[in-house]
Amino acid sequence: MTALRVLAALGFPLLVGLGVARALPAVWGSSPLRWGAAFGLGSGLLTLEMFAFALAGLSWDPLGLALLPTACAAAAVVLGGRTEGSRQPARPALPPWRRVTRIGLTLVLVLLAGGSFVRAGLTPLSSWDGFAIWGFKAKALYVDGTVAGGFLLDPVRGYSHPDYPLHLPLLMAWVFLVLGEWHDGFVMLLFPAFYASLLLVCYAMLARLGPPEVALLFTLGLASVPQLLDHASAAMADLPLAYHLTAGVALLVRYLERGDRSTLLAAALMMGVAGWTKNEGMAIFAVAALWIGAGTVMREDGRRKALSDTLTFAAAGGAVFLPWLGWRLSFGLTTDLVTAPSALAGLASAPGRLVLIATALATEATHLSRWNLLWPLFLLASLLALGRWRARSLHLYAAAAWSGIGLYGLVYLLSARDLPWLLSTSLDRLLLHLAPLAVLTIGSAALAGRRPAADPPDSRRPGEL
Amino acid sequence: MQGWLLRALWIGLLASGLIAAAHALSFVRDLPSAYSRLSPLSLEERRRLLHEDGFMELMEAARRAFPEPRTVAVWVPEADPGALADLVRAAERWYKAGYYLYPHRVLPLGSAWGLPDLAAAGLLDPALLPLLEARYLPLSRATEPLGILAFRPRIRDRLESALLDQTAVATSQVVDVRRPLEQRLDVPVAEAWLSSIDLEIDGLTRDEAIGAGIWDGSGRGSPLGQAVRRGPSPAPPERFVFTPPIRVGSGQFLLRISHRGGGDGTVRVRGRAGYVWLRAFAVEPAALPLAIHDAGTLFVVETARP
Repeated sequence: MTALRVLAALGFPLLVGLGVARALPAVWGSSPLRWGAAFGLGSGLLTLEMFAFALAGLSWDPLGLALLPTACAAAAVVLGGRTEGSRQPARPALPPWRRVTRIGLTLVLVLLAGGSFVRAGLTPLSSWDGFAIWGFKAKALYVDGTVAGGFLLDPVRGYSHPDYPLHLPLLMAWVFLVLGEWHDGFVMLLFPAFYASLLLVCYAMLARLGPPEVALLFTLGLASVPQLLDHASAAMADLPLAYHLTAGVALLVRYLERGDRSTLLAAALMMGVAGWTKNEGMAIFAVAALWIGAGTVMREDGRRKALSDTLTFAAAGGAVFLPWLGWRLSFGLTTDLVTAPSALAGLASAPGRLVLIATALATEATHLSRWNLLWPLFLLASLLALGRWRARSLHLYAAAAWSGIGLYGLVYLLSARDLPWLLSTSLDRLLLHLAPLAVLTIGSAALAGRRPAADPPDSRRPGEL
Repeated sequence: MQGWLLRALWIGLLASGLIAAAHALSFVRDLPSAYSRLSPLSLEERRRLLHEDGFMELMEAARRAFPEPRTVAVWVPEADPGALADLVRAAERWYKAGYYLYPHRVLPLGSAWGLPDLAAAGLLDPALLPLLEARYLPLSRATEPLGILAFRPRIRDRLESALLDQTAVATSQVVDVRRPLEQRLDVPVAEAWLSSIDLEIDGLTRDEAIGAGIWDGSGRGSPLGQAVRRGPSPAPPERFVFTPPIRVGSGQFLLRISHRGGGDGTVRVRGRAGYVWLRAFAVEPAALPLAIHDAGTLFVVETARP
């Protein structure tokens, strides 16, 4: 019975996401992307529903919460069209060595993802932020049965960062609700679910650039990055945020390629859920909106659509996290990471602070036991991007990753907190947010100009949009 | 240039592939041992493995001691106020206790962490901040009932020194002797009290106090404080007036102790084979619990305003 409840708790967000994916059939292009994006979309929408229930004073009965998403998913299945992935023609038979390679690499990936599930399932809630922020809020939400509990406003519990968004705590509380008890063992299974979804998304995007075997290899490279592997079984929000950002950027790349509103909507939802996951997600969402404007302006047929698409993206994505933002601001829960005086002070001492930031960044990025060679290779790939003007996907991934680095660098520069302390406690996690984008950049640089061997995603040249 | 960069990228990818294979192999190789080590254990046992010794026992004791939501103070001593490692450790204990004990509110005590916030929230008298920042217990001025959770090591000296600077005058106490392991509860409570609990007076153990002739060691007699007629320390005698422990319920004894201040002032209730859960009900606003210790890894003290 418990196993069924665990399965229901974890599977329901996936089913909701698959329902949403069914309602937007033109978006995905491949099954891995659809399945990879489903868990994040579903978890985002489910937790938004929980937030809305709380604001409306409705109780969090699991069956009541499941009713609306189930009805919507069922309607999408009945009314939705077939996905592009399912329309692809039959593929030619592969040579045995390629089939064996694919199966072997897939097995290793399954082993890593499955191992993460095992490791997470064996470990109770752990990690500093797990106790202080995410697990604490999840337990408080579950015990209180609402978001309006006083714990967010209690200065004694100020260490839990009440200004942080509630996506992850609500999702964890959902697991408790379905289980019928607070259980900090099973709830850990959420994190490898994000990990596996992230790998699917990255594979889907890499498979557009080259042969599936090579895409699997690059995905394996990402999957085995020690920092990522560690976070796959830790109660931290950084891996979920990395996943949402990566999936959002992947969908944005597809939107810039296709120019259709449904892909833009899916990208906006995914990036919006990133903002609903961590405050960094909100900041990157704003940057993404600017990139949407710039990207659509650059399209030959898109100039007139630039403004309307940017507004659509901002409205759809903002609808995900702005209710939370408004709610918390109404209670005076502001973020004090950057303040006007600290920004002025930061600018006044910019040279020294920049040296400190750059030194910390270089030190962290060359930490082999955390990152393997990810960041030096990302730097190489970025240099390659400068000379490859036609490989737009390379530029888009590199731009997204560098935008994130620039944004975080700016926050460090202007922050009110003690800079060495802030760098030492957050830099490795912030880089984790961007690590999948770095892998996509590296993959794009290495594969640009090569044609996928067996299953081209569409008629466009790989690596180009 | 582009060609060289591309070659460098592929060479780097090859090297990173080798490192990645090593990482993946190590991850997969470690899984069976972790599985065989942890899978037979209950979640509670795995939690115990995760934390320092005695942490989960303390959380369990606190949950039993405080069945209703209330404010609980966690004593988070620092060996060196400037030592980052100690601050981190102290904060970690505070956060973990906050997580495990919710809906109890967990206050940090014995540390400067967050104290101005507490004062701003009306929980503490701001005038006490300098005192608190010097790591004194704010019990005498707290505006609501507090429970205190205290961790070893190093707690004993700091708790005592903080308490001794106060002028406790009268405290009545209910002592409840329990065992941390359910399977050991077959020992009759009365016997457990007599056999496993000692009072330690003025820094002397039970045997030393008996040897010095200041205590008959029985825990019985009327009044028990007769044993404290003279003490070996420079402290004046008769600081303490004990009444005999009166059994007031299953597993509970009432022990009245009056403390007249001054001197060493230490009374310890020592549990030899378990832990001691002592609930103290202050008689006067300025009253403080006595320093309570066990011989094991933890103890819980609850105080409440009258």
